[in-house]
Amino acid sequence: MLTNLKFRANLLILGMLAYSLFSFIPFLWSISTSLKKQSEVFNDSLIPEALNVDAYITVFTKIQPNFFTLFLNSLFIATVVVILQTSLAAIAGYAFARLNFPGRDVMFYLVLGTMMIPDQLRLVPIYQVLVKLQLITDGPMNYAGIFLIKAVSAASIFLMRQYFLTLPRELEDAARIDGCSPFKIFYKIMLPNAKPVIATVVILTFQGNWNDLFWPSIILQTPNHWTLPFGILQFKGQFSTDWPPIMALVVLSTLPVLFLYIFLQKYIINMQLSSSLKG
Amino acid sequence: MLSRKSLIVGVVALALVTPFATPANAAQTVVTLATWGSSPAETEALNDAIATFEVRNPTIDVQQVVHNDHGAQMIAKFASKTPPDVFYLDAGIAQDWAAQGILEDLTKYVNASNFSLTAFNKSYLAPFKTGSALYGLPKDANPLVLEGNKTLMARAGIKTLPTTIAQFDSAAKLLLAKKITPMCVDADINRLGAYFYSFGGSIATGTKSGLNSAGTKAALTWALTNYKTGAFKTPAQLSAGWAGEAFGKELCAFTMEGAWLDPYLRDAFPKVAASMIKGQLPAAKSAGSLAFTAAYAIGKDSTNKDAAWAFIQYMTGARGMGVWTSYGVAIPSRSDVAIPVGYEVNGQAAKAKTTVTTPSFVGWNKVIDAFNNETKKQVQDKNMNVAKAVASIISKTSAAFPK
Amino acid sequence: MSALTDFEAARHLSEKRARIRRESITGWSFIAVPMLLLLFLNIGIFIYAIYISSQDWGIMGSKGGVGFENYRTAFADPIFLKAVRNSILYAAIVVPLQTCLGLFLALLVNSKVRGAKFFRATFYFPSIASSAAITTLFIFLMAPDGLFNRFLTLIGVDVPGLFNSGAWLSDSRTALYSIIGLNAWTTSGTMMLFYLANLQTINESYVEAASIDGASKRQVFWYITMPLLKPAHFFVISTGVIGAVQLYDQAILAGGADGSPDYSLMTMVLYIYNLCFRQLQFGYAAAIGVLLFVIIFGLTLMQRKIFGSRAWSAED
Repeated sequence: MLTNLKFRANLLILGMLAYSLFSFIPFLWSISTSLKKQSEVFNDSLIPEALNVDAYITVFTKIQPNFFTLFLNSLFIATVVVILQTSLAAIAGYAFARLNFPGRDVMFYLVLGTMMIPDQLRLVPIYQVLVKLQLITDGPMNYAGIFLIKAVSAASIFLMRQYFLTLPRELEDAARIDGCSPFKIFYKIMLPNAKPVIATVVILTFQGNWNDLFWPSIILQTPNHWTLPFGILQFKGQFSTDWPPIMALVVLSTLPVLFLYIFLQKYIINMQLSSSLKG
Repeated sequence: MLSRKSLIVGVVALALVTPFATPANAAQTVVTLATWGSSPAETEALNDAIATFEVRNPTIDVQQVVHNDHGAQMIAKFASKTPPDVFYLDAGIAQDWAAQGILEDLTKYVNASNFSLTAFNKSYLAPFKTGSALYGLPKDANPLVLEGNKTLMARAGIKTLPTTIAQFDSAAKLLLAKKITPMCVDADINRLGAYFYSFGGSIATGTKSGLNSAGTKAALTWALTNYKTGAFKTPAQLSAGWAGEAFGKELCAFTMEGAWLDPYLRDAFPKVAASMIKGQLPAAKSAGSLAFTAAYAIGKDSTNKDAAWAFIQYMTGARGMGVWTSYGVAIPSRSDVAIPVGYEVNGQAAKAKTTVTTPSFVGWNKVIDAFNNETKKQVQDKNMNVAKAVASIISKTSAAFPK
Repeated sequence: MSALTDFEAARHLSEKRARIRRESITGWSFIAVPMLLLLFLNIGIFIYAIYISSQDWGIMGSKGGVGFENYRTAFADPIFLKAVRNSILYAAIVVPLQTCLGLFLALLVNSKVRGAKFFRATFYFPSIASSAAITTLFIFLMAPDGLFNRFLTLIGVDVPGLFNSGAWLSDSRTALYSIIGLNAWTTSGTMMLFYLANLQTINESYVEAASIDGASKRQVFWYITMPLLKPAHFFVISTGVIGAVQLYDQAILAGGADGSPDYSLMTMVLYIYNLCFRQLQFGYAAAIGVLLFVIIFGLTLMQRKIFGSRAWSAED
């Protein structure tokens, strides 16, 4: 029976479903806890006794300064960082992969090297730099502090480079012979064929920034600039953790990332390379 | 003769400019206050105290900043010479920060305002003093006391809280027989250390290790034996985040915490709050406890030092401290402020003969880490050899003291 | 005649030189902005850190030079040595796990299996939640009376009789391994994404041609797919190692800033944090940062040797 292809296929699907369920359990748990009362939280029952939306009401009414400010700040910061990081990474990644210029490999090693320096070590010096640049302020320039820190991601550059390396040289050769400038080659040929990696970088960057607390907690100065993770902190007292609102916030925070991922799926998969290569 | 046009222009101009022309006495000094995150009760208490301060000082506006990682964020601000005007200073790290030269010596402000320090309990001032300099004024105090759950005690036939080590041991036996965990306490020097003194030993004398004394050895032996027999259990072993949570969930009959436990229980576990009784920690050779405190301090590079001092003077003065402690999150560090109702036991603990404040010297945190790491490792071993464990803990912790 | 050819040859040469120069300028202009930012915010600070590591550095600056003292201290410090051991052990186990899992999931999802779209979303799910949220949940589930132990009891395991009494995260013998389990699982979704992106560039015709030639599925996989995935392998494994050695979030959430118990959760980055903010020894912390860099760099160079330098430039 094990050699029966159909049986094996179905077994595989069953396995994948089981794993999916397993992967989903934390999220299910979060939803379930967000609908419970604080006293029920430790009952380990997946289904709450009664659907209780108090946690959501708390999130919308009691969070400082208010839920929509946190949400909009998160959205604003994540979007700008995604645009900055993706564009810079794509251009640099292409240059490292396909352009020849003196010092290219040394520069790439340097880029890689920056991934080996932990954030905790940079914390104090970066804060000092930002203070000198007057970005530690209550005004709108405060956001620029975060953009400055996050604009370049060595990992994104690395990812883009590896991807561009796999694209066939034939793609550009035709354009090169025609005398196209490198930037035009990049824009007209490489980018359209880079949709999978761009989608990947977008989703990873967005998600990383959406959930990030480390740099925002150091850089953002006033509650008006706070992002969603600050909201979770507010229900974490020194001693007690108010679980239902935290889980409500987690559920609400996860949804945008999930939607973005689902939306970008079609770009990650099944992109046909330009037809000029076939045959 | 003014034309109508220029009159209108003049009026409009005046209307535009007026909102910006503030009268001279509305000039406000903004004092930034940085605190660590805490419970809703503490937040309420602090806001209330600040409000009463601002009423009495209309030219000062206090802006509160809550740090989610107070230590790290304060250090970043110190290093860039932009510290807040006033901030919480934890006793455990006060000497380290003072040694870095980033704190303002408050002595000249104290003298200039004739602010009397006699009402302060001397041991709460000590962590913030170096030589003749004073770097902070203690805003409250929190000695550890023994809390008991009357319901669980009754189940084992225990009528009163144990007051001596011997009584505790027999109470523990009765509770274990009924399968109730007697005491939940973390293997932390900031809890177990309370017994070192009552057994006649110490944690530290100055900056030297006091762990090699017979008293400390006896205390540690008693504590570790309890962990082995199950009379003590750590919060992790009871699946709780901290001992207070385990106590609130009725997973243990006793615990040892400070005044912060009371508002926490009232909020999260009201039933247990109602059946809780408090007493002194079980006494060995003498009664005693460990007390925690924190101070308000000013940074050397802070901008509004005079206004900051006005704030500190109020909050550590009788009136301000009274408002802050009335919410029951801590007891006063001054003798001229009444102990809030229901905290008489905490007040007594503060006065007991061998009650000391937690040690405070440069490098204290390293000692804490060494003790906690080694003790937790020993305690998790089911086959722990108590004598060997005690020796190992003492040697590893003593090695972490500053040379 | 030859004069004309010489002239043309010279013109071609100068054209070529102009093209090369143009490409150099373009190349540099493409990387200019990122490199400048990295220079200021990363490389510059690291060089500053190297300087700090030669000093006794307090909050307000240097308190005197100490040469290599900080490095000597590190090699004699049992906590540092344990942190190195923890970080490397963790990376050595978690990277192969998350890589294999990520590759396996990517292959599954890339195949023509039914419902691939659905599985693409669910397999990625563990990576979506914020690390703080998932770790807190994990601590809750792995507690002595948490769901995991209940499940174990259900299948007949005597949990209280276990050597760690079911305290997976708070026992020094199992804490690090529990975190390995958690992180391998949550990172697998991200690794799956990387492999997926690379799988898209593998030309179907290669696979078809090989199958027609009689190659079995297994042969196709090992001799065609795997080699073509080299850029992804290299990326996944090297960034995996770089990230794993710098474990911090879960360590501090589960063990606290002191890495307890028995320093089983003290990683190198956590030790840097501890030294900076609990012990105020910035010079020593900087030295450890430098050593961390050297270790990671060394591990990356090792991978280069193993994968061959062609994987770096991956000119297929």
